[in-house]
Amino acid sequence: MPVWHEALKAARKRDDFVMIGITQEQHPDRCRLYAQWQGIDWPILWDPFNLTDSYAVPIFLGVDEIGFVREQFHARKGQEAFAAFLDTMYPANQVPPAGVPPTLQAQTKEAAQGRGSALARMLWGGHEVYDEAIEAFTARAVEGDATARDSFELGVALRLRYDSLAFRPADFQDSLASWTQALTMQPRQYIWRRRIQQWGPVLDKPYPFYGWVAEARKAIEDRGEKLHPVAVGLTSSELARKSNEMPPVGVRGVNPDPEGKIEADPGALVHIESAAALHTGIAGGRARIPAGTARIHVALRPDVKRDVHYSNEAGPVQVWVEVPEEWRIDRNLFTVAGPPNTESSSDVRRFDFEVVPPLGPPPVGVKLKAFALYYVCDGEDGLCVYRRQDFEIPIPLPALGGPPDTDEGR
Amino acid sequence: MKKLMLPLMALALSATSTAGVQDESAVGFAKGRFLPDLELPTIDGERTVRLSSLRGKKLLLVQFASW
Repeated sequence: MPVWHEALKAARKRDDFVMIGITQEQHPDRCRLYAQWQGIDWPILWDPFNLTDSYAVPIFLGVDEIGFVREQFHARKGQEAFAAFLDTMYPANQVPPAGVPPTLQAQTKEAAQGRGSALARMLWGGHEVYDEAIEAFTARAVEGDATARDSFELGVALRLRYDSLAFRPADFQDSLASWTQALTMQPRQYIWRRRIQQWGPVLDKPYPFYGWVAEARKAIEDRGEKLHPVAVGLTSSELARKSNEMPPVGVRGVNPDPEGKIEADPGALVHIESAAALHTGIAGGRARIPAGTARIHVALRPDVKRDVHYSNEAGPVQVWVEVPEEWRIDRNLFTVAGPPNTESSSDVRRFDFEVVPPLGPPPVGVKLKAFALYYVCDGEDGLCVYRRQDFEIPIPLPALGGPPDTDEGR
Repeated sequence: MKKLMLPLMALALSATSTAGVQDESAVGFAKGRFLPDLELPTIDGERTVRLSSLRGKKLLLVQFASW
Protein backbone atom coordinates (compact mmCIF):
# COMPACT_ATOMS: atom_id res chain seq x y z
CA MET A 1 0.00 0.00 0.00
CA PRO A 2 2.63 2.64 0.84
CA VAL A 3 4.31 2.05 -2.57
CA TRP A 4 1.03 2.73 -4.33
CA HIS A 5 0.31 5.69 -2.13
CA GLU A 6 3.46 7.39 -3.43
CA ALA A 7 2.84 6.40 -7.04
CA LEU A 8 -0.64 7.83 -6.87
CA LYS A 9 0.34 11.32 -5.86
CA ALA A 10 0.90 12.40 -9.48
CA ALA A 11 -2.20 10.64 -10.76
CA ARG A 12 -4.39 12.34 -8.22
CA LYS A 13 -3.55 15.74 -9.69
CA ARG A 14 -5.33 14.76 -12.90
CA ASP A 15 -8.86 15.99 -13.50
CA ASP A 16 -9.88 12.76 -15.20
CA PHE A 17 -9.00 10.46 -12.32
CA VAL A 18 -10.46 9.48 -8.98
CA MET A 19 -9.65 6.76 -6.50
CA ILE A 20 -11.42 5.02 -3.70
CA GLY A 21 -10.69 2.27 -1.22
CA ILE A 22 -12.91 -0.46 0.17
CA THR A 23 -11.89 -2.12 3.39
CA GLN A 24 -12.89 -5.68 4.21
CA GLU A 25 -12.71 -5.29 7.97
CA GLN A 26 -15.30 -5.85 10.66
CA HIS A 27 -14.36 -2.63 12.46
CA PRO A 28 -14.17 0.57 10.36
CA ASP A 29 -12.56 2.68 13.06
CA ARG A 30 -9.40 0.58 12.99
CA CYS A 31 -9.01 1.17 9.30
CA ARG A 32 -9.61 4.87 9.95
CA LEU A 33 -6.69 4.89 12.37
CA TYR A 34 -4.58 3.10 9.76
CA ALA A 35 -5.50 5.71 7.13
CA GLN A 36 -4.59 8.49 9.54
CA TRP A 37 -1.24 6.86 10.21
CA GLN A 38 -0.48 6.34 6.52
CA GLY A 39 -1.76 9.80 5.52
CA ILE A 40 -4.37 8.30 3.20
CA ASP A 41 -6.78 11.06 2.22
CA TRP A 42 -8.84 9.32 -0.45
CA PRO A 43 -12.24 8.02 0.61
CA ILE A 44 -12.36 4.53 2.07
CA LEU A 45 -15.63 2.62 2.11
CA TRP A 46 -16.53 0.05 4.73
CA ASP A 47 -17.61 -3.38 3.47
CA PRO A 48 -17.83 -5.69 6.49
CA PHE A 49 -20.28 -7.97 4.66
CA ASN A 50 -17.82 -8.57 1.82
CA LEU A 51 -20.39 -7.37 -0.71
CA THR A 52 -17.61 -7.08 -3.26
CA ASP A 53 -17.34 -10.87 -2.96
CA SER A 54 -13.55 -10.66 -3.06
CA TYR A 55 -11.71 -13.73 -1.80
CA ALA A 56 -8.49 -12.03 -0.76
CA VAL A 57 -6.91 -8.59 -0.53
CA PRO A 58 -5.32 -6.35 -1.70
CA ILE A 59 -6.93 -5.95 -5.11
CA PHE A 60 -6.24 -2.98 -7.39
CA LEU A 61 -8.78 -2.45 -10.17
CA GLY A 62 -8.59 0.06 -13.01
CA VAL A 63 -12.12 1.09 -13.96
CA ASP A 64 -12.93 3.18 -17.03
CA GLU A 65 -15.28 6.15 -17.31
CA ILE A 66 -18.42 4.04 -17.74
CA GLY A 67 -17.73 1.72 -14.84
CA PHE A 68 -16.15 -1.15 -16.76
CA VAL A 69 -13.19 -2.88 -15.11
CA ARG A 70 -10.33 -2.69 -17.61
CA GLU A 71 -7.39 -3.84 -15.52
CA GLN A 72 -6.44 -5.66 -12.36
CA PHE A 73 -3.02 -4.44 -11.28
CA HIS A 74 -0.34 -6.43 -9.54
CA ALA A 75 -0.31 -5.39 -5.89
CA ARG A 76 3.43 -4.69 -5.76
CA LYS A 77 4.51 -4.21 -9.37
CA GLY A 78 1.44 -2.74 -11.04
CA GLN A 79 2.40 0.91 -11.11
CA GLU A 80 3.60 0.87 -14.73
CA ALA A 81 0.46 -0.81 -15.94
CA PHE A 82 -1.49 1.73 -13.95
CA ALA A 83 0.25 4.61 -15.74
CA ALA A 84 -0.63 3.02 -19.08
CA PHE A 85 -4.24 2.60 -17.98
CA LEU A 86 -4.49 6.29 -17.20
CA ASP A 87 -3.27 7.25 -20.69
CA THR A 88 -5.38 4.74 -22.62
CA MET A 89 -8.47 5.81 -24.55
CA TYR A 90 -10.71 2.77 -24.52
CA PRO A 91 -12.65 2.26 -27.78
CA ALA A 92 -16.39 2.04 -27.58
CA ASN A 93 -16.41 -1.35 -29.28
CA GLN A 94 -14.88 -2.90 -26.18
CA VAL A 95 -18.00 -2.05 -24.26
CA PRO A 96 -20.08 -5.17 -23.47
CA PRO A 97 -23.36 -5.69 -25.33
CA ALA A 98 -25.60 -4.03 -22.81
CA GLY A 99 -23.79 -0.77 -23.52
CA VAL A 100 -25.04 0.90 -20.39
CA PRO A 101 -23.50 0.23 -16.97
CA PRO A 102 -25.95 -2.07 -15.26
CA THR A 103 -27.52 -1.55 -11.91
CA LEU A 104 -28.10 -5.24 -11.27
CA GLN A 105 -26.89 -6.48 -7.90
CA ALA A 106 -27.23 -2.96 -6.59
CA GLN A 107 -27.01 -2.75 -2.83
CA THR A 108 -28.07 0.65 -1.69
CA LYS A 109 -28.95 2.49 1.46
CA GLU A 110 -32.53 2.80 0.28
CA ALA A 111 -33.07 -0.97 -0.20
CA ALA A 112 -36.48 -1.70 1.25
CA GLN A 113 -36.91 -5.44 1.04
CA GLY A 114 -35.33 -8.74 1.99
CA ARG A 115 -31.58 -9.11 2.26
CA GLY A 116 -30.94 -5.64 0.85
CA SER A 117 -33.02 -4.06 3.56
CA ALA A 118 -31.30 -6.10 6.28
CA LEU A 119 -27.87 -5.06 4.98
CA ALA A 120 -28.90 -1.42 4.82
CA ARG A 121 -30.15 -1.56 8.41
CA MET A 122 -26.86 -2.98 9.62
CA LEU A 123 -24.74 -0.50 7.67
CA TRP A 124 -26.75 2.66 8.31
CA GLY A 125 -29.57 1.96 10.75
CA GLY A 126 -27.76 1.96 14.08
CA HIS A 127 -28.09 -0.55 16.90
CA GLU A 128 -31.78 0.19 17.39
CA VAL A 129 -32.63 -1.75 14.23
CA TYR A 130 -30.08 -4.53 14.53
CA ASP A 131 -32.56 -7.02 16.02
CA GLU A 132 -34.92 -6.74 13.06
CA ALA A 133 -32.11 -7.11 10.58
CA ILE A 134 -30.63 -10.10 12.38
CA GLU A 135 -34.03 -11.75 12.37
CA ALA A 136 -34.01 -11.48 8.58
CA PHE A 137 -30.42 -12.77 8.30
CA THR A 138 -31.22 -15.67 10.61
CA ALA A 139 -34.29 -16.63 8.58
CA ARG A 140 -32.18 -16.77 5.43
CA ALA A 141 -29.36 -18.74 7.06
CA VAL A 142 -31.61 -21.54 8.32
CA GLU A 143 -33.50 -22.11 5.08
CA GLY A 144 -32.89 -25.36 3.25
CA ASP A 145 -31.23 -23.58 0.35
CA ALA A 146 -29.15 -21.28 2.55
CA THR A 147 -25.81 -20.37 1.01
CA ALA A 148 -22.38 -19.90 2.52
CA ARG A 149 -22.86 -16.16 2.05
CA ASP A 150 -26.05 -16.24 4.13
CA SER A 151 -24.09 -17.72 7.02
CA PHE A 152 -21.21 -15.28 6.63
CA GLU A 153 -23.54 -12.27 6.58
CA LEU A 154 -25.40 -13.50 9.65
CA GLY A 155 -22.04 -13.78 11.42
CA VAL A 156 -21.10 -10.22 10.51
CA ALA A 157 -24.44 -8.91 11.71
CA LEU A 158 -24.17 -10.79 15.02
CA ARG A 159 -20.68 -9.49 15.67
CA LEU A 160 -21.81 -5.94 14.86
CA ARG A 161 -24.57 -6.31 17.41
CA TYR A 162 -22.13 -7.77 19.95
CA ASP A 163 -20.02 -4.62 19.68
CA SER A 164 -23.06 -2.36 20.07
CA LEU A 165 -25.41 -1.25 22.83
CA ALA A 166 -27.87 -3.89 21.59
CA PHE A 167 -25.44 -6.74 22.33
CA ARG A 168 -26.56 -10.15 23.49
CA PRO A 169 -24.15 -12.39 25.38
CA ALA A 170 -24.29 -15.18 22.80
CA ASP A 171 -23.66 -12.91 19.80
CA PHE A 172 -19.89 -13.40 19.65
CA GLN A 173 -20.08 -17.18 19.85
CA ASP A 174 -22.93 -17.26 17.36
CA SER A 175 -21.04 -15.06 14.92
CA LEU A 176 -18.00 -17.36 15.07
CA ALA A 177 -20.25 -20.39 14.53
CA SER A 178 -21.87 -18.72 11.50
CA TRP A 179 -18.51 -17.81 9.99
CA THR A 180 -17.20 -21.32 10.54
CA GLN A 181 -20.30 -22.71 8.85
CA ALA A 182 -19.77 -20.35 5.90
CA LEU A 183 -16.10 -21.26 5.61
CA THR A 184 -16.89 -24.95 5.71
CA MET A 185 -18.95 -24.40 2.55
CA GLN A 186 -16.36 -22.11 0.90
CA PRO A 187 -12.95 -22.92 2.41
CA ARG A 188 -11.07 -20.84 -0.15
CA GLN A 189 -12.79 -17.64 0.91
CA TYR A 190 -9.86 -16.00 2.67
CA ILE A 191 -11.69 -12.82 3.64
CA TRP A 192 -14.11 -14.96 5.60
CA ARG A 193 -11.32 -17.13 7.01
CA ARG A 194 -9.51 -14.04 8.29
CA ARG A 195 -12.63 -12.95 10.14
CA ILE A 196 -12.37 -16.07 12.33
CA GLN A 197 -8.58 -16.03 12.55
CA GLN A 198 -8.70 -12.49 13.91
CA TRP A 199 -9.94 -14.04 17.15
CA GLY A 200 -8.54 -17.51 16.59
CA PRO A 201 -5.55 -19.41 17.99
CA VAL A 202 -1.95 -18.38 17.24
CA LEU A 203 -1.42 -21.73 15.52
CA ASP A 204 -3.84 -20.45 12.88
CA LYS A 205 -2.83 -16.79 12.60
CA PRO A 206 -1.27 -15.62 9.35
CA TYR A 207 0.10 -12.48 11.07
CA PRO A 208 -0.70 -10.18 14.01
CA PHE A 209 -3.86 -8.56 12.71
CA TYR A 210 -3.56 -5.26 14.52
CA GLY A 211 0.08 -5.40 15.57
CA TRP A 212 0.61 -2.11 13.76
CA VAL A 213 -1.68 -0.12 16.08
CA ALA A 214 0.88 0.76 18.76
CA GLU A 215 3.39 2.00 16.18
CA ALA A 216 0.66 3.95 14.39
CA ARG A 217 -0.53 5.63 17.56
CA LYS A 218 2.97 6.69 18.49
CA ALA A 219 3.71 8.04 15.00
CA ILE A 220 0.46 10.01 14.92
CA GLU A 221 1.04 11.46 18.38
CA ASP A 222 4.62 12.35 17.42
CA ARG A 223 3.15 14.34 14.53
CA GLY A 224 1.06 16.22 17.05
CA GLU A 225 -2.25 14.97 15.68
CA LYS A 226 -5.26 13.86 17.67
CA LEU A 227 -5.72 10.11 17.41
CA HIS A 228 -8.81 8.73 15.73
CA PRO A 229 -10.42 6.59 18.44
CA VAL A 230 -10.73 2.81 18.28
CA ALA A 231 -14.25 2.15 19.49
CA VAL A 232 -14.01 -1.57 20.15
CA GLY A 233 -11.01 -2.44 22.28
CA LEU A 234 -8.36 -4.67 20.77
CA THR A 235 -8.10 -8.11 22.31
CA SER A 236 -4.75 -9.77 22.86
CA SER A 237 -5.79 -12.23 20.17
CA GLU A 238 -5.86 -9.45 17.61
CA LEU A 239 -2.33 -8.43 18.53
CA ALA A 240 -0.89 -11.93 18.86
CA ARG A 241 1.73 -13.23 16.46
CA LYS A 242 1.54 -16.44 14.54
CA SER A 243 3.25 -19.26 16.42
CA ASN A 244 3.70 -22.97 16.02
CA GLU A 245 4.33 -23.41 19.70
CA MET A 246 1.71 -25.45 21.52
CA PRO A 247 0.50 -24.49 24.98
CA PRO A 248 1.91 -26.78 27.69
CA VAL A 249 0.26 -29.87 29.12
CA GLY A 250 -0.46 -29.87 32.84
CA VAL A 251 -1.67 -27.40 35.42
CA ARG A 252 -0.03 -23.98 35.54
CA GLY A 253 -0.86 -21.79 38.48
CA VAL A 254 -2.32 -22.36 41.95
CA ASN A 255 -6.05 -22.87 42.32
CA PRO A 256 -7.20 -19.91 44.46
CA ASP A 257 -10.24 -21.75 45.90
CA PRO A 258 -9.72 -25.51 45.51
CA GLU A 259 -12.37 -26.46 48.05
CA GLY A 260 -15.01 -23.99 46.95
CA LYS A 261 -15.12 -22.14 50.27
CA ILE A 262 -15.81 -18.69 48.87
CA GLU A 263 -19.49 -17.80 48.87
CA ALA A 264 -21.16 -18.28 45.52
CA ASP A 265 -22.67 -15.60 43.32
CA PRO A 266 -25.18 -17.41 41.16
CA GLY A 267 -24.75 -14.85 38.40
CA ALA A 268 -26.76 -11.98 39.80
CA LEU A 269 -23.88 -9.58 40.28
CA VAL A 270 -21.63 -10.38 37.33
CA HIS A 271 -22.64 -11.92 34.02
CA ILE A 272 -20.07 -14.13 32.35
CA GLU A 273 -19.99 -15.09 28.69
CA SER A 274 -17.50 -16.98 26.57
CA ALA A 275 -16.81 -17.63 22.90
CA ALA A 276 -14.52 -20.17 21.29
CA ALA A 277 -12.83 -19.24 18.01
CA LEU A 278 -11.88 -22.57 16.49
CA HIS A 279 -8.82 -23.21 14.35
CA THR A 280 -10.12 -22.72 10.80
CA GLY A 281 -8.56 -26.00 9.75
CA ILE A 282 -11.80 -27.51 10.96
CA ALA A 283 -13.57 -25.88 8.02
CA GLY A 284 -11.20 -27.33 5.46
CA GLY A 285 -7.60 -26.56 4.69
CA ARG A 286 -4.17 -28.03 4.84
CA ALA A 287 -3.63 -27.77 8.55
CA ARG A 288 -3.82 -30.99 10.48
CA ILE A 289 -4.56 -29.97 14.01
CA PRO A 290 -6.67 -31.52 16.74
CA ALA A 291 -10.33 -30.65 16.28
CA GLY A 292 -11.33 -28.31 19.06
CA THR A 293 -8.12 -26.26 19.04
CA ALA A 294 -9.41 -22.82 19.90
CA ARG A 295 -8.83 -19.42 21.36
CA ILE A 296 -11.34 -18.81 24.13
CA HIS A 297 -12.65 -15.34 24.85
CA VAL A 298 -14.21 -14.63 28.24
CA ALA A 299 -16.02 -11.46 29.30
CA LEU A 300 -17.27 -10.58 32.80
CA ARG A 301 -19.90 -7.85 32.92
CA PRO A 302 -21.08 -6.32 36.21
CA ASP A 303 -24.86 -6.01 36.30
CA VAL A 304 -25.48 -2.45 35.23
CA LYS A 305 -29.16 -2.49 36.24
CA ARG A 306 -28.11 -3.03 39.85
CA ASP A 307 -25.21 -0.59 39.44
CA VAL A 308 -22.73 -3.31 40.37
CA HIS A 309 -19.10 -2.24 40.21
CA TYR A 310 -15.77 -3.85 40.93
CA SER A 311 -13.91 -2.78 44.04
CA ASN A 312 -10.53 -2.33 42.40
CA GLU A 313 -8.79 -1.46 45.64
CA ALA A 314 -9.65 -4.90 47.01
CA GLY A 315 -8.04 -6.77 44.14
CA PRO A 316 -8.37 -7.93 40.55
CA VAL A 317 -10.72 -10.53 39.14
CA GLN A 318 -9.27 -14.02 39.11
CA VAL A 319 -10.45 -16.84 36.88
CA TRP A 320 -9.46 -20.48 37.19
CA VAL A 321 -9.98 -22.72 34.16
CA GLU A 322 -9.68 -26.50 34.10
CA VAL A 323 -9.29 -28.62 31.00
CA PRO A 324 -9.73 -32.38 30.51
CA GLU A 325 -6.70 -34.59 30.97
CA GLU A 326 -4.09 -34.34 28.19
CA TRP A 327 -5.49 -31.04 26.94
CA ARG A 328 -3.12 -28.14 26.57
CA ILE A 329 -3.87 -24.67 27.94
CA ASP A 330 -1.78 -21.48 28.18
CA ARG A 331 -2.25 -21.46 31.94
CA ASN A 332 -5.05 -22.15 34.37
CA LEU A 333 -5.14 -18.99 36.45
CA PHE A 334 -5.94 -15.63 34.88
CA THR A 335 -5.84 -12.27 36.62
CA VAL A 336 -7.81 -9.43 35.08
CA ALA A 337 -7.31 -5.99 36.60
CA GLY A 338 -9.47 -2.92 36.14
CA PRO A 339 -8.45 0.49 34.87
CA PRO A 340 -5.28 1.74 36.63
CA ASN A 341 -5.60 4.18 39.53
CA THR A 342 -9.31 3.65 40.06
CA GLU A 343 -11.01 2.72 43.32
CA SER A 344 -13.95 1.14 41.52
CA SER A 345 -15.24 0.61 38.03
CA SER A 346 -17.99 -1.18 36.15
CA ASP A 347 -15.90 -2.02 33.10
CA VAL A 348 -16.24 -5.26 31.17
CA ARG A 349 -13.29 -7.49 32.09
CA ARG A 350 -12.01 -9.55 29.18
CA PHE A 351 -9.26 -12.06 28.66
CA ASP A 352 -8.50 -14.80 26.19
CA PHE A 353 -6.44 -17.96 26.13
CA GLU A 354 -5.86 -21.03 24.01
CA VAL A 355 -6.63 -24.70 24.36
CA VAL A 356 -5.47 -27.66 22.29
CA PRO A 357 -7.10 -31.06 22.77
CA PRO A 358 -5.11 -34.24 22.16
CA LEU A 359 -5.19 -35.76 18.70
CA GLY A 360 -8.07 -38.16 18.32
CA PRO A 361 -11.82 -38.07 17.90
CA PRO A 362 -13.35 -34.56 17.97
CA PRO A 363 -14.22 -33.59 21.55
CA VAL A 364 -17.93 -33.16 20.86
CA GLY A 365 -19.90 -31.66 23.72
CA VAL A 366 -16.87 -30.73 25.84
CA LYS A 367 -17.36 -27.89 28.31
CA LEU A 368 -14.42 -26.52 30.25
CA LYS A 369 -15.07 -25.97 33.94
CA ALA A 370 -14.13 -22.59 35.34
CA PHE A 371 -14.82 -20.21 38.20
CA ALA A 372 -14.29 -16.51 38.72
CA LEU A 373 -13.50 -14.68 41.97
CA TYR A 374 -14.28 -10.99 42.28
CA TYR A 375 -14.76 -8.17 44.72
CA VAL A 376 -17.88 -6.23 43.81
CA CYS A 377 -20.18 -3.65 45.36
CA ASP A 378 -23.90 -3.80 44.77
CA GLY A 379 -25.31 -0.37 43.95
CA GLU A 380 -28.78 -1.38 45.21
CA ASP A 381 -27.91 -2.25 48.78
CA GLY A 382 -24.42 -0.71 48.96
CA LEU A 383 -22.85 -3.98 50.10
CA CYS A 384 -19.35 -4.94 48.93
CA VAL A 385 -18.69 -8.66 48.76
CA TYR A 386 -16.13 -11.21 47.61
CA ARG A 387 -17.82 -13.86 45.51
CA ARG A 388 -17.18 -16.95 43.45
CA GLN A 389 -19.06 -17.83 40.30
CA ASP A 390 -18.73 -21.22 38.66
CA PHE A 391 -19.35 -21.38 34.94
CA GLU A 392 -18.78 -23.58 31.95
CA ILE A 393 -17.05 -22.79 28.66
CA PRO A 394 -18.53 -24.79 25.79
CA ILE A 395 -16.39 -25.54 22.76
CA PRO A 396 -18.99 -25.92 20.04
CA LEU A 397 -17.74 -28.02 17.16
CA PRO A 398 -19.50 -27.72 13.81
CA ALA A 399 -20.38 -30.68 11.64
CA LEU A 400 -17.03 -31.58 10.14
CA GLY A 401 -16.65 -31.37 6.40
CA GLY A 402 -15.58 -29.18 3.55
CA PRO A 403 -13.28 -30.01 0.67
CA PRO A 404 -9.50 -29.90 1.08
CA ASP A 405 -8.02 -26.52 0.33
CA THR A 406 -4.61 -25.87 -1.12
CA ASP A 407 -4.60 -22.13 -1.73
CA GLU A 408 -2.59 -19.73 0.37
CA GLY A 409 -4.34 -16.37 0.15
CA ARG A 410 -3.31 -13.28 1.98
CA MET B 1 -38.28 -19.73 -46.25
CA LYS B 2 -40.67 -19.92 -43.31
CA LYS B 3 -38.46 -22.58 -41.76
CA LEU B 4 -35.45 -20.24 -42.00
CA MET B 5 -37.33 -17.20 -40.68
CA LEU B 6 -38.36 -18.79 -37.39
CA PRO B 7 -34.82 -19.43 -36.10
CA LEU B 8 -33.76 -15.97 -37.27
CA MET B 9 -36.65 -14.36 -35.40
CA ALA B 10 -35.77 -16.36 -32.29
CA LEU B 11 -32.17 -15.22 -32.58
CA ALA B 12 -33.25 -11.60 -32.98
CA LEU B 13 -35.53 -11.84 -29.96
CA SER B 14 -32.74 -13.40 -27.94
CA ALA B 15 -30.35 -10.58 -28.90
CA THR B 16 -32.93 -7.95 -27.98
CA SER B 17 -33.47 -9.59 -24.65
CA THR B 18 -29.72 -9.71 -23.92
CA ALA B 19 -29.34 -6.01 -24.65
CA GLY B 20 -32.38 -4.98 -22.66
CA VAL B 21 -32.06 -7.13 -19.55
CA GLN B 22 -28.32 -6.65 -18.95
CA ASP B 23 -26.17 -9.64 -18.31
CA GLU B 24 -25.80 -10.19 -14.59
CA SER B 25 -22.74 -12.37 -15.13
CA ALA B 26 -20.95 -9.33 -16.58
CA VAL B 27 -21.15 -7.61 -13.20
CA GLY B 28 -18.44 -7.95 -10.61
CA PHE B 29 -15.25 -6.66 -9.08
CA ALA B 30 -13.04 -8.27 -11.72
CA LYS B 31 -11.43 -7.44 -15.03
CA GLY B 32 -13.90 -7.57 -17.91
CA ARG B 33 -16.95 -6.81 -15.83
CA PHE B 34 -19.02 -3.82 -14.90
CA LEU B 35 -18.73 -2.71 -11.30
CA PRO B 36 -21.91 -3.49 -9.38
CA ASP B 37 -23.69 -0.36 -8.29
CA LEU B 38 -22.80 -0.79 -4.66
CA GLU B 39 -23.46 1.84 -2.02
CA LEU B 40 -21.39 1.82 1.16
CA PRO B 41 -20.64 4.13 4.06
CA THR B 42 -17.19 5.65 4.50
CA ILE B 43 -15.11 4.40 7.42
CA ASP B 44 -15.81 7.55 9.42
CA GLY B 45 -19.56 7.05 8.90
CA GLU B 46 -19.95 10.59 7.68
CA ARG B 47 -20.60 9.90 4.01
CA THR B 48 -22.16 7.32 1.76
CA VAL B 49 -20.73 6.65 -1.68
CA ARG B 50 -22.51 4.91 -4.52
CA LEU B 51 -20.05 3.51 -7.02
CA SER B 52 -22.11 4.66 -10.00
CA SER B 53 -21.56 8.24 -8.81
CA LEU B 54 -17.87 7.85 -9.67
CA ARG B 55 -18.53 7.29 -13.38
CA GLY B 56 -17.22 9.90 -15.79
CA LYS B 57 -13.59 9.60 -14.66
CA LYS B 58 -11.05 6.82 -14.59
CA LEU B 59 -11.16 5.09 -11.23
CA LEU B 60 -8.60 3.16 -9.22
CA LEU B 61 -10.51 0.98 -6.78
CA VAL B 62 -8.42 -0.59 -4.03
CA GLN B 63 -9.77 -3.39 -1.90
CA PHE B 64 -7.68 -3.93 1.19
CA ALA B 65 -7.63 -4.33 4.95
CA SER B 66 -5.37 -2.68 7.48
CA TRP B 67 -4.20 -6.11 8.58
